[in-house]
Amino acid sequence: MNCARCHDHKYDPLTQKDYYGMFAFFHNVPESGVGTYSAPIRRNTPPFLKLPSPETQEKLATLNRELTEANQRLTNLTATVLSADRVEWEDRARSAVPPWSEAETLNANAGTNSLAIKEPGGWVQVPSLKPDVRKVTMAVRVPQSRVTAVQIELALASDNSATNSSKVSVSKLKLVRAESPEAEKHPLPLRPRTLAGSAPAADLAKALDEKAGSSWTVTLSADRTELGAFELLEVARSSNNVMVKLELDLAPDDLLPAWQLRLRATDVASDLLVPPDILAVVRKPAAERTAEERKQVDDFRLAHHPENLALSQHVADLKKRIDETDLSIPITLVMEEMAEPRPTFVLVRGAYDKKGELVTASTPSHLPAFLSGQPTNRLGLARWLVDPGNPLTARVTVNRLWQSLFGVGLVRTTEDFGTRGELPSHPELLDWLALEFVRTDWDVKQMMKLLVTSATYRQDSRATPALRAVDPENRLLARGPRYRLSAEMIRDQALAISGLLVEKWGGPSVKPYHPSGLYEQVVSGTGPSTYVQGKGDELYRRSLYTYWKRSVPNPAMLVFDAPFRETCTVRRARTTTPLQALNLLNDPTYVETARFLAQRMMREGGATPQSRIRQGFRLATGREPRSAELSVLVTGWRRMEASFRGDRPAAERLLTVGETRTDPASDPAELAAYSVVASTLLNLDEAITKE
Amino acid sequence: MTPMKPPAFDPMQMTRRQFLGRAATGIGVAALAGLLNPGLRGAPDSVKPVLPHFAPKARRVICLTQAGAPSQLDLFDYKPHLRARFKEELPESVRGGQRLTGMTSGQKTLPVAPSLFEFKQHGKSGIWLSELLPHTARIVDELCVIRSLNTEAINHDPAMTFLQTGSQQAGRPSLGAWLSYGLGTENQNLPAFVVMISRPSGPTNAQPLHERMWGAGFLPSLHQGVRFSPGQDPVLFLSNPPGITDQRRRAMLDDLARLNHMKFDDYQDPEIQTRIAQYELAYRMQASVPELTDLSKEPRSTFELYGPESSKPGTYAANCILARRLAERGVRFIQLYHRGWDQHDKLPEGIRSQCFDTDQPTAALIQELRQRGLLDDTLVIWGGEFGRTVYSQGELTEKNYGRDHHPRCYTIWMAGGGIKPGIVFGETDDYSYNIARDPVPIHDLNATILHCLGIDHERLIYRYQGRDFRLTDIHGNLVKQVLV
Repeated sequence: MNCARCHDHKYDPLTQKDYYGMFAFFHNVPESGVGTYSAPIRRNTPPFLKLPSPETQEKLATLNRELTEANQRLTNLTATVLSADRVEWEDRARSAVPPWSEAETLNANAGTNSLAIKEPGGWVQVPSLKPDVRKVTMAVRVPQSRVTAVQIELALASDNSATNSSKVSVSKLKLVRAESPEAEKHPLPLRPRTLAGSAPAADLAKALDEKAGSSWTVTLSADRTELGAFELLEVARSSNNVMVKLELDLAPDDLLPAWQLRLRATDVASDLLVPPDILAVVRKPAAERTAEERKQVDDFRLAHHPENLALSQHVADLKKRIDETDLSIPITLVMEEMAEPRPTFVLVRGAYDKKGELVTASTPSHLPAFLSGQPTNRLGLARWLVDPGNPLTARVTVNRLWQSLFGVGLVRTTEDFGTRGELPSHPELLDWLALEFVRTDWDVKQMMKLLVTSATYRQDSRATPALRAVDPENRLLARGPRYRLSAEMIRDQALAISGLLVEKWGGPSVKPYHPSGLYEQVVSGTGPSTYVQGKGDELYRRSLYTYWKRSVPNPAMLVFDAPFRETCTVRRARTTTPLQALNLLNDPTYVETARFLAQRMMREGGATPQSRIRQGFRLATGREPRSAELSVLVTGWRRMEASFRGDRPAAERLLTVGETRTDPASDPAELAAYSVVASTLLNLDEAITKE
Repeated sequence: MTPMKPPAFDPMQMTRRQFLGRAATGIGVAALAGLLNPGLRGAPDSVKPVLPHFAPKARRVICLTQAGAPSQLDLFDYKPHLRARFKEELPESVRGGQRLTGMTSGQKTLPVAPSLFEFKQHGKSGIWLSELLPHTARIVDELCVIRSLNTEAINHDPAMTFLQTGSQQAGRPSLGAWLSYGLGTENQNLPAFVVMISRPSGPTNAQPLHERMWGAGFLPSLHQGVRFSPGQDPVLFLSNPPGITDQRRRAMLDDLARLNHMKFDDYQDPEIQTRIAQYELAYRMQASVPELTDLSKEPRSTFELYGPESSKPGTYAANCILARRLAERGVRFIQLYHRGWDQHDKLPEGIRSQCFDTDQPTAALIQELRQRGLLDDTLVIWGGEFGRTVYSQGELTEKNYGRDHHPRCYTIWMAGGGIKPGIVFGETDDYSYNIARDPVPIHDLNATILHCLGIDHERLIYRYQGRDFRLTDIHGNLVKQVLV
């Protein structure tokens, strides 16, 4: 049908209009894509179905319950906080200039040089600094045993007569406990506060953020001390007086004349560090306050009430966790019709910008007519596809099922039922199977059962030379199918035979063994550029779950004719190459699998080499070995065992391949010899061939 | 157009058992030789190969793919008068409303950036080359420089896919796969199609590659390129696991062959014989591939010829030595990819480093092929997926500029089997923006390559999904002027 995108089909009765008629069924989705190249986001365009696991559902329910409770507690608390001690708080707030206590300055440094301290007041004297010295630190002891806030004070140096103003830019400010070097690694979390006469919190915040080029800048003048107040979000407590260390990084842009610095502290509650606007409201008589002002005061108190703060934080955390959990739920996208169908045109020569005739959704004219009374949308299309009066869908489907069991379809060109496709070898059989498929309600399992239990499928795959000459490809089905297994089946079978297969269902893709260096040669510098091998069970899942990167598909799969998955492939080639032999002989997957099969043979196969090898042969081929076959393998094992007996390190090295460990009680030479036999079994033509 | 001959059968439907089963004579070693990569030879229900269609001039190809698109303006396409137009706006009459990439469509100006590099004429042929290619200058008389190549795609992935497969969209076989399919192999111990990839040594932008670029598309997958990697396993899974000596492997394979022979005696399925042969080939590859990739026995003079990088495994220079060794051993299609030619910015710095990586080894390869008499029947192709713009992407200064993707015209060169040496073909306009004379679309290039190998591009056909496919699809004209 794809040919008809640009022109009427050359061989089949498909017009270009047919193509765009079919196209119109799907050109009708409101999907617009979400996120952009530079800012991808993880949410998808609705509609979609969320498919949470029971564990996730349980977790979400718990979190939502906790959120409801926390919100309730928060509401109750709000009422209590605001009503309980309003009068008392306002009294204290009105008198509020926070009682900053002078602290004892213990020492101070600029870079590695110690700085002078001027008393009274503990003022640290900062001289004109060299350009490479940008860090000033000072340690103080405060008179309290608990500190809730500090105030940093900057002024021109008292002996600075040269200038009458100076600019100081603090690009980074850090406060740490000074009791131990360990405590110094954990800065105290700070919140800038706006107070009467001190710098606005927004300015102070510039000294706390990590942004380059952002700093708290003050202009010092002779008659004025610049102040900055910071609340400690974790109250610093000590059995004795609290000691803290202040670190300032100065912006490197200007050379400063001498200035001075000190730090003072307080232990008043956070809600008594009252900013000027709130203070102004509180100083008004209650009756004169507007509703807006009353709310302003309430909000301030709530925002600085420790218990309320903790609870609000808890609520925010819960919401965040709920959101994260929600985003972790796998979803499946659902297609939605647009309310007003998008106009669809025939595109002249297939060019996206060359619109031709306007078309509406329709099925190809040479196929059975669209069902009357059905909507001309995807639902109607789906019903038309599987309508008993439309034989094509069922024929194509059973032909593919046939191919999956017999290796060749009744119509060999499974992908092409047009005039260039091949005619069926058994037309009546194909029709009967198609009708049977419809009659049994499109039950795939039932159809597979019918096929595998048929006399045709159960025939012996042997053929006399005469029969082979007449029908080399077995199109007449006078014998059973015989062909090499698919890439996925070969690996899965080896894992299953050896007992390594992990039969877990579902989940994200996994990364089994993979040669190193393949990604690095071809991928660009961005994104995951290397293959990180999975661990444990992930190495032994069915190949269905193997991670697939289209630009570098799994090489072992490609070797066995797995398609690239860039285009739809319903029929794979089936080749035989030396690269396949190298893969089955040397890929760690199969070396490890052989060792596991060897262990299984030794465990389940009795005590003699004969019985053990017989067991391995049965597992690999599904039949008993003939005596000649057994004799080759047993003789081979004896020779290999003797060889490893004389070269124990080699045996041990062979047993190290793969992530699983070998039973330390096992005899290396013996196990290595069985591993080689197991590898022989896994490489048998019969083992990787269906017959 | 000559009528396409529908193949008598679909080779994908033809199994080897059928092929072998129908062979009138017994299957000897000679037939097995083709099994590593049995070129199905157009109409394999007759035993006589129909390919090549006529006597080939070249028996093999070395494709030196410069991934990322080298700037033709700074290497081959000399435009002296552009110096006077430094920073002038590209005239709209030249641009002709051409679509730009999203990388420069937002630019306010499209200032002309003349090449910073000096050009000189070289050799008897007097072909102009930039100072960036002093070594190529030595062998310039061997080259046929095509200045009028053009492509349909404007971005790396579709353009490289187009160059390799004749279609911008994924799913078609690559050139090497077509040749493997059409001509099979000459060396039973090595794959017919080998790919080697090198990363740039400098800090330049390396666009990703994609396995499909050397994939077999809808051809049987044994025709896909086999990647050779530096390191212990040049071919994947080549080495025996630890503890398995050659002797032990041989003993194990002997047992395996005995058992498979017993199976064959019972079932008479020729596929079993094929498998037995493949295991023997695998065993032989375990010896032949390391022998091939082991450069330790190359004389010091080799490394001197190929330059300082050639002693480092995995570099373009080391891969060039390997390419010569592969050619000596009869590998049909040898493809090198060197990444890092995508100079959107800092072009002068980036291209210098790319030329450091590639110029000397490329010239050395041509020189050695000539010395050893291999150039006569080896076709060498050097080039990328498109060209670069005359205008600067980003800021243009006296010493620095960048160039965006340019599909309308670019330069590649060919040398060796079947190609006229020492000529320049095709011409671009004053801005190296449009083709002034003798355009060579990608399909024409591919038709010409096939011709050198004795293949009529209209007759190398594979039917898939009800349609006959060719490397050149419904296009392609032979560029006769470049042929000997």
